[in-house]
Amino acid sequence: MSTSSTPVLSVDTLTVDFETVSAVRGATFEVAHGQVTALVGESGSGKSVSATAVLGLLPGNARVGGSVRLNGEELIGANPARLRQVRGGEIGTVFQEPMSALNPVLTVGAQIAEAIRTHRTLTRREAWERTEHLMATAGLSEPARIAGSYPHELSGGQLQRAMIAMAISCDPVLLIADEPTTALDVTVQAGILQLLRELGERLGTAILLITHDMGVVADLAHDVVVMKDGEVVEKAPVLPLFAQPAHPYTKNLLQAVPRLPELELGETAKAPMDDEGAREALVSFRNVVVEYGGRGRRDGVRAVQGVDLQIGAGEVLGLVGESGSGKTTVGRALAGLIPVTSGELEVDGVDVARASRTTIRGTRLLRGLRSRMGIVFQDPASSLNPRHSVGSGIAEPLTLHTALRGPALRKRIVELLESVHLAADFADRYPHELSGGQRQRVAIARALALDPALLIADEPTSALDVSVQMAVLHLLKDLQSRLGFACLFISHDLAVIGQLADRVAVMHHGKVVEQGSTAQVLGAPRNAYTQRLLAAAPVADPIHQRRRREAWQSLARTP
Amino acid sequence: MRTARFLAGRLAGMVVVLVVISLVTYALFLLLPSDPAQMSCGRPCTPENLAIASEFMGFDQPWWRQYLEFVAGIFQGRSFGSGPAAVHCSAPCFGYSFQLNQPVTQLIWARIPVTFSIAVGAAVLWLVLGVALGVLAAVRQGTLVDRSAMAFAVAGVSAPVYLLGLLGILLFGFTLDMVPVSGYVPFSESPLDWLWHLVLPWCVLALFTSAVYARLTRGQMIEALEEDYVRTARAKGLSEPKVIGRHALRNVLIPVVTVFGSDVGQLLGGAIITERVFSMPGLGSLLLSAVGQGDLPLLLGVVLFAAFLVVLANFAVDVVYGLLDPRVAQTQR
Amino acid sequence: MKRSIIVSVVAVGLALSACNANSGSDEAKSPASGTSKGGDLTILTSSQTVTLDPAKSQNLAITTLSLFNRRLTSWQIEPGQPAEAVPDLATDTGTPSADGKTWTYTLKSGLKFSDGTPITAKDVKYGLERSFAPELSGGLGYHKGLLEGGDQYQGPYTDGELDSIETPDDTTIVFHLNKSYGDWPWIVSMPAFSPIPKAADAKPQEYGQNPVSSGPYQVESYKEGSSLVAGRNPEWDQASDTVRTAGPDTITMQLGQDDTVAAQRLIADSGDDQNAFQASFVPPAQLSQIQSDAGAKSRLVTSEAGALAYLALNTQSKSLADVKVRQAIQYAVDKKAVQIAVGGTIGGEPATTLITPGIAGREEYDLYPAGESGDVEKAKALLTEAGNPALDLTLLVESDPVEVSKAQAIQQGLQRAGIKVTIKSLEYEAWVAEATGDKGEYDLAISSWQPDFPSANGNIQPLFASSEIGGGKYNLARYSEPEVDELIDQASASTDPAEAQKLWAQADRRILEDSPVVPLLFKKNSFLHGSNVQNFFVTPFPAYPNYLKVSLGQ
Repeated sequence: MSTSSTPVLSVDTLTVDFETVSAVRGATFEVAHGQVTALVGESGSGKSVSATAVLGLLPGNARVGGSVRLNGEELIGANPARLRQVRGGEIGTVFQEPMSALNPVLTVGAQIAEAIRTHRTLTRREAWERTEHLMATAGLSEPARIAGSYPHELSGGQLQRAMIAMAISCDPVLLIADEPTTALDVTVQAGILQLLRELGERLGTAILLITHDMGVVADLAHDVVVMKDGEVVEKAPVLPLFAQPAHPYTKNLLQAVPRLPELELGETAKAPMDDEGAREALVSFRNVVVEYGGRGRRDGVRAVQGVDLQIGAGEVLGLVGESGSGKTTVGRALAGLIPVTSGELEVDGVDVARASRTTIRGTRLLRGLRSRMGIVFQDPASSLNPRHSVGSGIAEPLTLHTALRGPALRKRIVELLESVHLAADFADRYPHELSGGQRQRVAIARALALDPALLIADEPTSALDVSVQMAVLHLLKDLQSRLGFACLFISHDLAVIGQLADRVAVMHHGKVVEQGSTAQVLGAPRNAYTQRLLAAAPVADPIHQRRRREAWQSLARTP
Repeated sequence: MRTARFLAGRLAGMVVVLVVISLVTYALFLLLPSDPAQMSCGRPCTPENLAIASEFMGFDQPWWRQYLEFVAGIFQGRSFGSGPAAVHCSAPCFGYSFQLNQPVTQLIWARIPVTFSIAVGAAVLWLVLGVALGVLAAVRQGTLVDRSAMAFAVAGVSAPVYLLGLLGILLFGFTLDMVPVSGYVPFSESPLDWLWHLVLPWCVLALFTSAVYARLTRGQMIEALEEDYVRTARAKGLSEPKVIGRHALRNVLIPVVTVFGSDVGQLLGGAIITERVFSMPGLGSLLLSAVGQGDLPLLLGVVLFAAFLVVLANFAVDVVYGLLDPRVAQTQR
Repeated sequence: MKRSIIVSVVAVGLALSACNANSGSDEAKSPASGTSKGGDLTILTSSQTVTLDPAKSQNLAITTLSLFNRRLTSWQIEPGQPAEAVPDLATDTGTPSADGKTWTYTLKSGLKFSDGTPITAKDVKYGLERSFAPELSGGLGYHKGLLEGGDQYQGPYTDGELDSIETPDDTTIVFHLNKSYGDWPWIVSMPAFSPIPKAADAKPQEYGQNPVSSGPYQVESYKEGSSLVAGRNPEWDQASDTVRTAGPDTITMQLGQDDTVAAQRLIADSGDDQNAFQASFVPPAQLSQIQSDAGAKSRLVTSEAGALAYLALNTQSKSLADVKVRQAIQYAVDKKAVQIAVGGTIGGEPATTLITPGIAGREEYDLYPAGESGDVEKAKALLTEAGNPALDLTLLVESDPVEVSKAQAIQQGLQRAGIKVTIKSLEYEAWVAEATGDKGEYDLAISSWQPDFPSANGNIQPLFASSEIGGGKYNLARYSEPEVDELIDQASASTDPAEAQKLWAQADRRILEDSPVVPLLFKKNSFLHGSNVQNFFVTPFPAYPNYLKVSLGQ
């Protein structure tokens, strides 16, 4: 689908070196008018550095070679004043995580107006009017209110729309969107992608989309540039790329993406609440309520409002939901980390709800319980002590709860490391020497050290690259079938859940709105919210994704 | 509305703090072995004279009564004695110094301009110099400018003000004869002389503390320059001064202001010593003379007033904080 | 004890502030050059305020207030001579009746206030009556207990006139006392005996801010905490005044000056500071700095030995009830060590008597000759006589560094004779409360004393009369001896100075026989002045510069 017209942006044998590291090694690609070119790769592939080089915003210690031309004008080596005109003027930029990309102490409107007035001579009032107009264009209702708000007062979706409004404020010829939807919920993501697509079509703006998410690529891109280790390994229009990936890396990348079944949207119905675990329940939630901060006269925030769940021994329950749905709170309540306000929560016969509310006796009960429970968090860096070697990190629960010492302890540690496919010598390394995937493996080894009956895994793969994610998921699946522990697997990613879970529960606004077998919930959801959620999740297949998108659009139109 | 509620809340808290401070200070003074009546009884102090003085000053009353009268005096004024020789202390009356023969309020009032001249000037110097130096050091990270600024900061982390003052006087006053060694000239009399007399006190009080702020600012600025929003600002095409001044600095100022709020007490303490060294008739020298003379009513008044200033300064910092950081007003209801 | 709140001069007698003095060199002693007129004198003081209301003032007769106000009598203070009462407003120092209870004074003629109105006996009477008002308390009030009806009278604002003060005509004033009192001529030199025109006293509380002047100077401007500027009073007549020379045209007191900085300024001696002197003592650091600076040293004036520093032995304490034990302590104390503690000869000279040098009638003697470092053997012998009691004494001392080192010197001295001393150091206020309170739960206390007026009366009565025990008064030895009380009464009553002086000297000796205190040192005070300041001298009593005679070179 590439066009024959002159490219808006052409990058030719771009190289970027930092001191001893080559981040980009001769990357060549183009972005054409009205087209979306996706720059795809995993972390460290050089995709973001390439985009930053286009903007001329690399730090002082970077050496840049090759050529970057915008509408034929060379940007590398251009004078700083000209580059400032280009930035924000001819090239608009949308970054990931709008919450941190916008200045927390200035109103959103002021930041957009500032961008306008940097490049256009307008009065304050004119700039403000244009700001509101742009925000409306970016699909924000109530632009006046939002313009006067500070970033912390707005949702991620609103902020990213404001960010887009800012990026397009000076009618740029090129829009660089660096992971524009990464930190957003799927339903919000779908809206942002839709907005970008419309902008490209309506204004003819060329878009350079930087992403690691093949689903997003499939949804938005016309052309795809795949990067690996600073080099472009494959360039192709989107359909052929997904249909017949030429480079082995591309193939791997695509294969690593977890798939969702084809979606069948039936009539919405009262979703079945199939919570009777076939097997004997190890964990059971009965009308569990968790409130935060409810002290004195103030009303607490009800994070979880009446949840019924059961997990049978050896069963994997996938708990899915968007941010703020209460899924993480359920996990923390289960681990006894936060008190349960009301309801019953039993794990293996222990009344966790009560234990979590009482102090001394409860603490002892919970301690005993935790020796039969493993926990893996999203960010392994924060759960591993940076001062302890991997070995002593894994040893900690063992020395705490077992009598293993000396060589026996060492043997167990090696065993555990091997079980997560890490060599024995990892025991003597420190967390900072490990990659993200390796760290997460260590975290899993540690969680399984005591042979738990239950594993709580909260977004264990969200911070990982797809290929690494796939390996970790395989590992978990393998370990689970071998060791037979029950698992509460919490994730926002439907496809990841689909890989692992026997049953799926969907949370929305603190409630479980649907639960059932994985095939049923992900393939033929009954609940309206589950349907929207599933339809919004992009899949790494342009054709399949187009159908889902249409489904999503029709759902989004119905109230 | 939200801001108004926030301010009202802070104000109410302030009042509570002041009531507690006044009670505690009052209690402390009652525990002191000194008797203000004795101090103003004259010599020889016969028991009859003492009784007369004590009754006249109201120290013959039970403590709670004295405290209530003190509080009532703040709102409606007080009188001691009767007839034409009676002592009048009009509202707001924070007590009467029988040793200096003046209402405490009046004494404090007369000295505020001096202390404020010192403290405000020094605070401005602290902040302006400190922040400017810190920003410079952060932007020119690793260069000679950065290193000398930080060396200065390390040197001055806790130089004692009294010593510094005397050294300053010896060097700039006596040896170089550049500035006057003591005294204070009101701004209204001669702005130039006012400035001239204050330059050295300001420097003594502020120079080294500003170094502490420079260090703080530098660290915060380096962090801020790594923030995503700074990258966004640059991607908008803003010039570097604008990126730093408008985007980074405002975020940097938030912790700086917080630290400044907790340093106001230190500033007042420093001002007391500075006034002493430079022989300036400010609140500090008033306080020292009150301590030296065992002038309890004055001591109580000045301590309360100082507490009020600190509380007020913290309130002001909260307000500024709220202005600088829109997230504050919302979360701290 | 007193804490003279003499303008600008901090704490006299009271052990409260460290005194520093220089060795008895007395260069500036003879004001050879006479008095030149003119110039602007500056007085540097750490005080924040100047009390110019006579009723509230505790000024010595030779300091600030006397520049503005004359009294019936004044003090003639000259180097090398004992203090002498001389007529000021009055024509003589007073004529007593035969029973010594009625004193009559006649005013000089032609005296005028600064506003041109004549000074009359009624103005003196009114000024004195004012001092009885509780609203105007705080001054020297010796007269209040002496004037008939003075204990009931509460000032002219509520109680009308005080009948015991008569003014038969404009130049005559008669005082009726409730007992014979020979030191009355000293009493009428006090601030309360300054004339005040009733017309100028509409607002009594504000009178001190702009007093009507009868002395050589009048207030030109006064900024509390900052400065007091005095200019000449054109109505003052040099011919009528024998104590004031009124040299400088103006006198500026710079208030609230840091002592260290002020001393530095005078050491530097540049510009206007050549015409300045420091009213506070020279701080220790500057004192030693001056020793190596010939220029500054020539401008340092140290008093002869003056105020008495002493160790009070609580006669009511069980441990010290036996006079033998108290006498043993006289021998055991190492006065040399105490002298070193105050800086050596610069700080004072060992004392053996009670009456302050510089006061007429003082006799030098030593009841317990033991040499400067004490006589331990003698002390031990006396203790043996007393039956070798086990002594563990509490020594009350103010927590000032110099005071504490004095206490340590005493502790070590007594240790030599096997007397254990426990030092209890307290903040000034607490020290006062404990030492002068009714309980008297201590064995020893270190204090010092300078009388308010140059009579032996001021030395003896407040420290040793049995009426002065507890209740905030300064008989710290809690000494009660009827014989001594009798002597004190006799001496006070005598209107013949010669006879009185003899009685006081007798009392001095009689008291020390009972050994209620150990005289430690007569202290010295050091002051610094600029190079153009003349007639600047410090006598043993009062050990302060005589403001009335200071002049500037022209």
